[in-house]
Amino acid sequence: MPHITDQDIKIILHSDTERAFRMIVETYGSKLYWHIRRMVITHDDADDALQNTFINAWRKLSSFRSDSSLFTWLYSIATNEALTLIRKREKENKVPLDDIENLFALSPEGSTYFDGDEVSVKLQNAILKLPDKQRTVFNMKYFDDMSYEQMSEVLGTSVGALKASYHHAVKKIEKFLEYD
Amino acid sequence: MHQRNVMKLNNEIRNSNPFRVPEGYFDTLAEKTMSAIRESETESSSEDNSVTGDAKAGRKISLRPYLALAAAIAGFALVTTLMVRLVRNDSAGTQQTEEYSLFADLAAEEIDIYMLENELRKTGQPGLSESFEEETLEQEISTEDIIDYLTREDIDINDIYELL
Repeated sequence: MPHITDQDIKIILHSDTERAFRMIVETYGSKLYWHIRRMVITHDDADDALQNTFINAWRKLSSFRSDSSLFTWLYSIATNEALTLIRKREKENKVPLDDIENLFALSPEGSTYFDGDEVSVKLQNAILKLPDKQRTVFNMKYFDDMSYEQMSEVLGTSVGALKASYHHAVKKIEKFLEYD
Repeated sequence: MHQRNVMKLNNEIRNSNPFRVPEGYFDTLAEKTMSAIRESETESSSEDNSVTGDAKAGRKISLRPYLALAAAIAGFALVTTLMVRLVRNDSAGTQQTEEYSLFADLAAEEIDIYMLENELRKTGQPGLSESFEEETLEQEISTEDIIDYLTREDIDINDIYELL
C-alpha cells in the first residue's frame, strides 16, 4: 500500500468523504489505538474509546480546518475520549484506578491482552499513579515520541508547561520505581 | 547510579510493548469503524424521524417552545409579585416607621416623666399634688423664682447673686 499523506486525504475528502475517512482510519487507527490503550490499559476500553474517537471525528469533519494537521486533530479527540472513559470508570467503581491488577480485576477481559513482566507492571503502576494530564503528557512524550510543539497543539497547553509536566512525571516515576 | 539504573530500565522497556490485541484487530478496524459510523448515523436520523413523525401525529409534541413560554410567564409573574410586595412593604414600612417613631417618642416621654417623678421623690418632697407635678413638668423654673425661693429661705441676697 503506497504511503498516504494528509494532503492526499484532504483532496479526496472534497470528492468522496467516506473513502477519505476510511483512509484516515487506516492511516491513524493503529497510532490512535496505542495512544488510547496506554491511557485506559484494557483492550475493550481502548476499542470503545477508539470507536468514539472516529465517530466524533466523522461528525466534526465539516469543522476540520484544511490547514490543520489531521494527526494532531485526531490525537486531540482521542485524548479527550480516553480521559472521558477514565473518569467514567473511576466514577463507576468509586475507587482510584491506579493499580493495573485492580483494573484487570474490574474488567471482563482481565489480563488476557497483557503480557508484561514484573518491570512492565511496575512501570504501568507508576504511570497510573500520575494525575490524568501528567500521565497523558508522559505517554505522548515517552512512548509516542511527540515533539512538545505537537503536544502543545493537541493539548492546548504551552510548551513550557508541558516540559515542566513531563519533568515532574519522570521524577515521580523514578521515585516510585526506586522505592517500590 | 541508582537513578541511572532506573532510567536504563525505563529505556529498555520503552520499546517493549506489554499490551496485546486480539488477532486481526487492526485488519478489520476500518470496516468495523465505518459500520459503527453508519450505525450511529442511522440511529441519530431515526431519532430525528421518530420525533418529527410523532409530532405530526400529534402524540409527542416538542416541549421546548412551550417550556420557554411557561418559563417566560412564570418569570413575569414572579417579577410582578415581587414588585407588588416591594411596593406594599414600602408603604407598610413607612406606616410602621411612623408608628415606631410615635411609640418611641411616647416611650421616651414616659421614661422622662418616670425619671422626673422619681427624682422629685428622692429630693424628699413627698405628697406633691398631681397638679403641682404637672405644673413643674410643664413650666420652666425661672431665675427669678429661684431668687424668690432662696430669699424666702433667708439666704443673703449677695450670696445668691454670687452663686447665680
